[in-house]
Amino acid sequence: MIAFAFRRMFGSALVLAAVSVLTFLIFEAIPNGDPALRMAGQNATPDTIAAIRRAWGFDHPIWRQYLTMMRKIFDGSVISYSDQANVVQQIRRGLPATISLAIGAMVLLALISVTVGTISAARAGRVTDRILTVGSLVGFSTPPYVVGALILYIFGYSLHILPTAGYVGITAHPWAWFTHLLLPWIALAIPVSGASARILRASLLENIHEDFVRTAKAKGLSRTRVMIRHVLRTSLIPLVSLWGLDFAALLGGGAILIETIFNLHGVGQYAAGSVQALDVPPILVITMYGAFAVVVFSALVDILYAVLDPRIRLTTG
Amino acid sequence: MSEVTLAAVGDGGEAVNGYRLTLRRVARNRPAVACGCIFLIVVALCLAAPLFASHLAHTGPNDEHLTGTIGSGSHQRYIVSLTGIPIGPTWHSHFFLGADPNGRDVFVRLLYGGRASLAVGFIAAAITVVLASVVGVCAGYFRGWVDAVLARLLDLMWAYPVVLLAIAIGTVLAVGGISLGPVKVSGGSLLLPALIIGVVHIPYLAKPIRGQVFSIREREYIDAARLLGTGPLRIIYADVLPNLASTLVVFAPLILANSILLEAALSFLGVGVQAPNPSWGNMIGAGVALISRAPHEVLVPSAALVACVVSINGFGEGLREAADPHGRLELRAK
Amino acid sequence: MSKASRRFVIAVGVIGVSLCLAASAWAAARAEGSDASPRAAAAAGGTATLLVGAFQSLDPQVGFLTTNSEAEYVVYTPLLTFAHKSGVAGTDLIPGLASALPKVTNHGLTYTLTLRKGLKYADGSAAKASDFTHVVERALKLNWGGDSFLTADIVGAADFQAGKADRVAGISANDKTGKITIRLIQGDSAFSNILAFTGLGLVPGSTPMTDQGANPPAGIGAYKIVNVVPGQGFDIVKNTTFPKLHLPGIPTGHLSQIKVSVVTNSLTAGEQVLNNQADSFDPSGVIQPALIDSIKSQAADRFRAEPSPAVQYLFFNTSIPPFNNKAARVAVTYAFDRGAVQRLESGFLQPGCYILPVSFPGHPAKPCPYGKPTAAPNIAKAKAMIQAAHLDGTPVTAYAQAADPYQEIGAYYVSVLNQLGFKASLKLLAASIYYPTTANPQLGIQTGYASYRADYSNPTTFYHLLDARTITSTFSVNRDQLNDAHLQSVLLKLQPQPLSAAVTKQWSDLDVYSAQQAFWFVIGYTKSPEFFSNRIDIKKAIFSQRYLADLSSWQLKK
Repeated sequence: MIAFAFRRMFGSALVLAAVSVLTFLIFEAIPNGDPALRMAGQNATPDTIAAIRRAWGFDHPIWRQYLTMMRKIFDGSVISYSDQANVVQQIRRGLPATISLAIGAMVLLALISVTVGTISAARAGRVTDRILTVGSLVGFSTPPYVVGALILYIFGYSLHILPTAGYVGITAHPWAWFTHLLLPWIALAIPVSGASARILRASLLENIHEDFVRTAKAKGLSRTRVMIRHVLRTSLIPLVSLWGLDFAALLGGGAILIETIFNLHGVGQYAAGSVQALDVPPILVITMYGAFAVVVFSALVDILYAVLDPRIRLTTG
Repeated sequence: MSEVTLAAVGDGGEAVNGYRLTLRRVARNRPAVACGCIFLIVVALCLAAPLFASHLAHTGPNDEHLTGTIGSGSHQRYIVSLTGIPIGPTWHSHFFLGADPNGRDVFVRLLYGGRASLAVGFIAAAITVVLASVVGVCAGYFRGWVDAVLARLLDLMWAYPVVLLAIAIGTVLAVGGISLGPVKVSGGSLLLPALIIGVVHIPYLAKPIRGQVFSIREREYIDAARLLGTGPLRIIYADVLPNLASTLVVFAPLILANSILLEAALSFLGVGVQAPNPSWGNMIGAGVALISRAPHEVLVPSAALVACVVSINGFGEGLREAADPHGRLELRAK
Repeated sequence: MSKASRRFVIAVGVIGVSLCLAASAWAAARAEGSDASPRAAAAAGGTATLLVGAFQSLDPQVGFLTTNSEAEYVVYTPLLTFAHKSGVAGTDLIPGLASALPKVTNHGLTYTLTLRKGLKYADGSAAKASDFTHVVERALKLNWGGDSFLTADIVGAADFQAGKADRVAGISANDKTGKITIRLIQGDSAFSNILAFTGLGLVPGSTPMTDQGANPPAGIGAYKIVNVVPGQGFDIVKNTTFPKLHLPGIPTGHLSQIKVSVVTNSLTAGEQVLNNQADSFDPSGVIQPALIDSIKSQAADRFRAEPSPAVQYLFFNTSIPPFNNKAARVAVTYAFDRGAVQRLESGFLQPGCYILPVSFPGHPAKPCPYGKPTAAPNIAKAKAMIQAAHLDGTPVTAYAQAADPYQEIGAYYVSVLNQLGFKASLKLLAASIYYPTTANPQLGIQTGYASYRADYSNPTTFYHLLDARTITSTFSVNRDQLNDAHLQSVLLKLQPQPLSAAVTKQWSDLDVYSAQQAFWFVIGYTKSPEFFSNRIDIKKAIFSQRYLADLSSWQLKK
């Protein structure tokens, strides 16, 4: 058990290192992406460009640049090419918005998918189920940014009942924090809850055939109560692991498009801006941070799963 | 976020029914068949784009009418107003669904954009299926160090934030294209986004295939074949692949749907299909800025995208049910 | 595993996950708390909010964006500065921290100024003449965006930047007398303008030679910059030591605080000003079309479109086909409809054919050589010209920035080229690499969209973009790669000469020549939008041709 945990952690560290190397190489391959040229601005002379190159170490071999960058990342001093801001500090500033977004979206997601999935399974085959199935289908076929753009138009620009952009800290103004995040939460939650509801429904219907459920029914409990009290817990286990991954992706700045549309200035928006500006240091740091979040959460989830379900032993690990 | 569905269905036990039985069963599932038909209609419409453009709308997808007018006499108006607002749907053959800010016909662009989005989606899905099968079969069949290396590689791709990876590669390649030896792909080609999307989805399919090949390999007839001295390639071709077929049949629509969605997301950000060529994603992206004045710019391509993906997913749900009617597919994160 | 221990593990798992969530929420709250949110000082002057698309480091010797200069104009006063007036009067130079305009001697090679006495920075420290030398050295060492102006003109600047000297030989400053002497490499009639750049705004001599953007140094100006959050915003608050200095011609400001915030979506920013949730915004390029109609119907009295000396044009690489052939360039001139770009920019374009903008010194009075800029295009004639020159079928790649409205302008340009008979395609580049990439002669870029805003009121600011001397093998702001004998000889003659009526006439003749040769296709001149909430008195707000909004003129309506 402990050995497994150690193996996972070592493997994860390797993966993170590989992620950093891969990212670095991708951006080294940019044609005409010489960062010295970009920093020199519109009126640059060859001397200016050479001076920048020397000052930033762009004339060193690639492996040396990579190691220098890694060192600066780990001691927190790495700065971006475009505005010379400290990248780690910038990411920290974006964290409140991203974390708020992630947590709220997960809560909403859990509420919607459990409700829809349970009702769907309890009324399996009937009209309610069919309607909810179609709804879930449309839900998970619609990209979050489409949902976001539509509800932004309806509730923000047309009806003016919700703000159209920005993030307000929860400590500063709790109600504004809520209203500014409500539309992004909905946009993120709907597609994933469509999928989760379907999965939960399938899982519930599968577990309902188990023996312990038959016992409960024999004891005289109604189908719905059986479903909720006995079956739900078991059926939720696989979903929880998925949600863990989802949460990790959101934390790691995965909600790029939503953060951009709603101007939340979170980690995802910072990532999107950096990629479009071809600004390597923030991209590198955010990618590693995002991969780290995914790796940590998937390891946690796997460990939890292995603990909960003894059938899974890690031979194929 | 649709990666969740992919991850959920993955790594299950093998489908109960073989692919032939699966297909026969799904043919009897009316809603699924209806979805499939809708998808085919969408594809047909998009393929017919050039016909529509030349005979009905008399304009191509990139032909601009920025300073032109439409209508005559007292009903004459600018296609794009002097402050840059395009007209909405006219419901006639010219500018059936309105114009975009460059004075181009939205319906024509919708059809051509569908061609691009669907082409990228299909090519990407094909790349994913082929490469994931190769990787999954090799890892599952040969095991040992081959599996160790491939599994770590898949882990690496899995951990990398998918959208960031796609954006990163897309941005870099959009700037200059790539040249691998004699093969040179320009920055504007559709192959680039297809390649990126195809590669990015490999782990989602390779892992379940790998898991399934592991268990298939344990079967007695495989052992017998190996003892008889049959080469591995023959065994894979004759025994392993047919058993994988039903899994692939179930996965194919899901991969296709996700590929189309990822293409739209990349084009939305400007790193997929390059302007001025249309794709549903970049049409939505361009429309967001105008959403308060010309909502049809966002609504039209969004509706097309959602309808297309819903129909694929609907058919896919039917296939999954037909392959495994008692829902015994196990759900695990990896 | 027994049931009890399973339950235990599940409980631990749930608690663990809850702790994780709580920890992240707590971290979030802490991170927010560490950003000191200033108590809005609703003092007598009032507070305003300004929304911008982006800003660079607020260290005056580093940042070069227009947003930066706009703030620095009222925070860091250089030796000279631009008059705080609207319109063309705003391009006049007045003394800033110097006691008078410079004395120019030695055939334009020596500039002498004297620093005023008794100047104090916002932190109370005294200013001295050697602070100017320090500022120039900082600008060179920190790779200020305009440092090429310094290395091209000041003796010893290039050597200092390259590390060959430990001071700039051409500047001498006497702290006792306050006298500053600057020696130039070549005569440059525009040099005084460079002395007025905010990048040469004085900062204390003790300011380190590193980027101080996160905590900008003290300056001498009506305001000072505090609470910088890179990428998100900063505050501009009154500098209480400044009014005591009584600098003539430099206002002390009305508002007590201006909060600057970054909103990257200019549509959102505009809507906020429309709804009076913010007081003004700097659109990065133009106001979105979606907004114009609303503004015109609901808020026409708090909106103005100001002409500004910024030229939008298509460059033609004159060293490679097809635009080495004048017929190709003239054909584009006949075929391109400027009205199309006007629409794409929501009407914020004044069509024109001459490089020097309207109201700019040297703008020709003669009619445009190829017809009025607002006339309808003549595609047939243009197509015939291309066919006569046997250029149809030539592949052409046009470049534009991958952002609205530039990519749409690029798409329109490509459709025009295709109509002319070329095989045209569009290449979009990210904004951050657009200018360096298109300046690389080795890439063989044939044509593309560009725009340039005048740095000062002298035609050299535009004509250095057509100067053959700026061409190098890897980087050339002269995207035309132009080496025209007549243009070079006139340029060399006119550059060192101050703008008299005779010299201005010669510039305008050169401009007519450029239009005839169609070195660029000039689309027109940008009209900058000025949009305020109903709190700000728009009649008193000054729009500087050089720095856009003059923040020291903003005041609340009575």
